[in-house]
Amino acid sequence: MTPKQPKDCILQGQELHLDYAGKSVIAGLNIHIPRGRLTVILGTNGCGKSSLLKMLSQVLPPSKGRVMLDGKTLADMGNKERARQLALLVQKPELPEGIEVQELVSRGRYPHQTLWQQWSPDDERAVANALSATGLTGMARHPVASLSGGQQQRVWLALVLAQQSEVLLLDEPTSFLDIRAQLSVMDFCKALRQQGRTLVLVLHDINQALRYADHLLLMREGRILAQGAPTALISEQLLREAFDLDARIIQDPEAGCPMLIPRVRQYDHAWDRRVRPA
Amino acid sequence: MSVSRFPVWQWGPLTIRAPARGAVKTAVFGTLGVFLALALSLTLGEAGLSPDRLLQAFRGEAEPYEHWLFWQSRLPRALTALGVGVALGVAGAIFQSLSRNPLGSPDIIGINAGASAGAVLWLLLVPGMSVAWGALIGVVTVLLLLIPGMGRNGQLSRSLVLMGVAINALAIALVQFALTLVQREQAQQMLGYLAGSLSHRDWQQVTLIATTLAVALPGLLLLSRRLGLLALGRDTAISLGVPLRTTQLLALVLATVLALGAVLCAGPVAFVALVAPHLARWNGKQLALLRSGLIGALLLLGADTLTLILPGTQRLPVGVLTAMLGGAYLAWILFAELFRQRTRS
Repeated sequence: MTPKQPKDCILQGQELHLDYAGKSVIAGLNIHIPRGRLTVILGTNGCGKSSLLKMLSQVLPPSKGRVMLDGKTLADMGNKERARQLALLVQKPELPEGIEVQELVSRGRYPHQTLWQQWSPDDERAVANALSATGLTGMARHPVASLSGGQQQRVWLALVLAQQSEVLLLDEPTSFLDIRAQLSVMDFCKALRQQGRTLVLVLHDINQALRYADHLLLMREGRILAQGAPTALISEQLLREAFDLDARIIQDPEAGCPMLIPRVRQYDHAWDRRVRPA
Repeated sequence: MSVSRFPVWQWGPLTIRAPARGAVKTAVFGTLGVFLALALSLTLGEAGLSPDRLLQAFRGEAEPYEHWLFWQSRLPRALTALGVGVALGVAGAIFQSLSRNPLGSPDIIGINAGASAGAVLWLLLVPGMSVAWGALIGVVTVLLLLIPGMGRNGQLSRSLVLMGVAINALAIALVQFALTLVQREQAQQMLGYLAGSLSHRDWQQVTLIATTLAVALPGLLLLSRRLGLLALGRDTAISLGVPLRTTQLLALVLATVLALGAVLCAGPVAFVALVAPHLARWNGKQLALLRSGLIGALLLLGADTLTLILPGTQRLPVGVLTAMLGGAYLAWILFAELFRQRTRS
């Protein structure tokens, strides 16, 4: 299947291959990320979503194929030049011991700095804006480790925000958060998109994806199964193909978009044959 | 912009992030501490000089013997201790940061063992010449073994410690093999070198360690911003634009140069490189190169002074003492941690 190419795409992967530990994880994947839209990538665990984000950001260079960012080959761009245009928030960033909120957020300015110009008024403004946009201004001097999970996630979002890149790649930004914190992260992403930024999110919650995404990508075993606008794309058949999931699709009574309801199963633990009724 | 969030030093087109106030304080108190320790070290011990005679010797008004004692024996020895301590402290901090492991240090990564094996084999094969050449060859060999461990994706952290353990085992086997082959006096000479010692140092060692520091320290300080970003994890660092492989390679080479300088001046002194960065992080802050270096200097000079004043330890190589103290310190942290966990649960 050749996916339809969005008219204006800012980031694209051409014939991407990725081998990991001698095994092919992704083979010949083509992907187009529309400019100024919120794209969500969905798929089962281990289908290659995170690897795809890492390839798109040159953190994991593809074994074959190339990534184009705004018409330029990503691999040929300078490290800082690339980082000024494209930010990645990984799933589990490492938190240095004892670091304060504003210190961590200020690290997002690295691609804008040089050895001779380590802190400019632009840096100052970007960090202040990132902190206020994430509601962290009052906690600027707090140690990050002392904050709640939801607040810590806001700190990491502030870090990529301070990077001031046009494209933001976020790998499962809502995992491990309570429902309220999840929704604030999603609303925050929507607000960024309304400011004209391009966002690519990996999510596990299909209903959140359906509600927030402009563009949906479904992956399965290193391939792109389908892509397009959520309402047009999603079907019970597609969910079965992508997740082996038996579900109904109804209309979200709140937002009007499609919403999935898993069907009641006959047994609880599909992976455990012992509890399966004869 | 009225007040900057972070203190900066401006000078023409230059704008440098100033170290936090805590760092300035550390530098001031650290320097004072070093001078105090230096004075103490020179006045204490069997051949110590009392403060007034110390001043006389310093001004060049002392009797010839005391003049010689001060200028040719005690001062170079103390300065070597300080320089080697700085080198070990900084190298240890870099290795710990590169290996993401609190045990990563020249002792563990195999640099000291490589130097020992090189030196001992050199003594065996080319008995006439300085063992320094052997140590140099040993360290370079270890470095060449460590670099391929970085891999295509710059996964240095895991391979450093594992390779280190392998190199250590190999090098120690070589040392023991060499020891079985030689005469008794030669073995004694080798063992003296292997422990790490600061006795009979002269200005040659001071110059060597000063040169080492002058070469490696500025580069590492320039790299420290990138190393701080590496603490956010490999992926985040790359996505922020840090050239991972170059940074790791430069840091590895420069830290090895420091460790090499230390080994050439004092032999493989144990544990200082391991303990100094631990002490430097006492208030839970990140990579603190200068503080780690200062603490390393104070530790080594302190340990050397102890060998001078403790009864019956005049001929004890300082490396043996640092190994004892460092081992005890490490055991103490582990027990304290275990005890804390026990009482918490």
